[in-house]
Amino acid sequence: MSFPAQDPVGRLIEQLRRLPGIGPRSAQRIAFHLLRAPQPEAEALAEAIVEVKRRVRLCGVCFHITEGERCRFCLDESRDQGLVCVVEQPLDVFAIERTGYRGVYHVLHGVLNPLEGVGPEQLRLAELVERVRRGGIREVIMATNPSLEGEATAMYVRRLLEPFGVQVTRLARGLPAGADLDYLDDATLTRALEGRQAL
Amino acid sequence: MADRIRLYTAEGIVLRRQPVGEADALVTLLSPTHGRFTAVARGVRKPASRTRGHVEPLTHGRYLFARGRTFDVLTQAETLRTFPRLERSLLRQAAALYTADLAAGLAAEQEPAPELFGLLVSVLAALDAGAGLLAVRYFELRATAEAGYAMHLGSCVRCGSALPPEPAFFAPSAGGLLCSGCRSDGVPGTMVEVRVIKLLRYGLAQPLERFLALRVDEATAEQAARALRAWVCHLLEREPVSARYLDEICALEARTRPAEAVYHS
Repeated sequence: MSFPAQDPVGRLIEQLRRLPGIGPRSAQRIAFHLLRAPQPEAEALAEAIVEVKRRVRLCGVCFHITEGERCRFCLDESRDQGLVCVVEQPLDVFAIERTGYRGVYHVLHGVLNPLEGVGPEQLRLAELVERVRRGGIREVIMATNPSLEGEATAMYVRRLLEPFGVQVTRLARGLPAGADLDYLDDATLTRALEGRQAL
Repeated sequence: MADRIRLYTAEGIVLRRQPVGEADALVTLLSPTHGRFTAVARGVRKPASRTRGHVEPLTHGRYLFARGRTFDVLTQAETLRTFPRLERSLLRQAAALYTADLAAGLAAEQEPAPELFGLLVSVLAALDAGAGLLAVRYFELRATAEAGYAMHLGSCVRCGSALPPEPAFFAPSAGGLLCSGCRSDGVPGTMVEVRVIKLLRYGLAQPLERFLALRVDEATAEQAARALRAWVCHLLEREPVSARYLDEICALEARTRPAEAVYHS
């Protein structure tokens, strides 16, 4: 069943369909869930969406999400400001934080993806170069995903930062916890063997 | 009702992987038996996925598919070959992605393509072994020929007359070289030197190893690259998506390395 686009329910379904991973059926289900939900619950959701768009912006230094000019990591003087972890997306910051990392971040908001037409100019790469050029950074950790695109981005950043003499490191690649060797692909196993360590 | 085979296996090279939904991906492959086709790989973006590493772009593998309504579903995967050294060179990786992009553009959907597949495997192997951009030029020449559009370089494509040993006009829309008599104003194209024509003819006639053994000067390589790019864009009716990235990486490399190192091993 389809709803006219000018109908309030139709408009809601149409807006929900634009969200990642939401198809037409899911959009309908969520719309009808909201219709049945108590008024305060639906209003709280609408207000949260409006507020996040009004108040949240990107940090002027690392481009992580923040409510002020600078994010809490960049403002925290107890963190090592000379150690920069470069990640693809803001969500990756939260993943790295779970490890107890005490440096700061730089969020690229994507990775180089030549096959999808994503080039260097669409990422926050120029800002990273400028940050390193200003000085005070001794190591840049490339924490992009261990995919073809992530590796390309890491290599590209290494080339960009070569003239500044800063150390560029890459997250280790190897076996995931609980993995079954028999099912691993050759590339992962090769990297795991290359990166083996003495017990 | 005719019995329909639900499962089938296909060897192939992953040309592209696009995320869909929460954890799935659409995987486009070039197979010698099935040509270019796209299948869905379910859950492949989850960390615990057993198929994940086998469907990275530029992986050569053997795959099992179940027929689906819109897309076939990839159910099992086995890697036959990877090109691990590509990840250590920005230039060669960009070149490899460009060849995969070009193969995706030139291959017909669900049409067997054993020659194009074999060509892609050899060029990727050469790049993995350290070949420079000459390997890309070879792929452009031969892949377009395999797709049925070989450059006409032996004589004037319009009147058939023999071309004198002097620079000639290459017109992509005509399909090859034009003699001075047939070249009319307004036909898009470019003048190419005799040594560029010889290089292109050599590429169409010789195996990859012999082509890569050539030592080509920078000016000849650049002019051949421009002619082949125009040829590819004319055939695809667009510029390959990855072409701009390859050009940017070439420019970055050229600033720090001698041109010799960019074109040759």
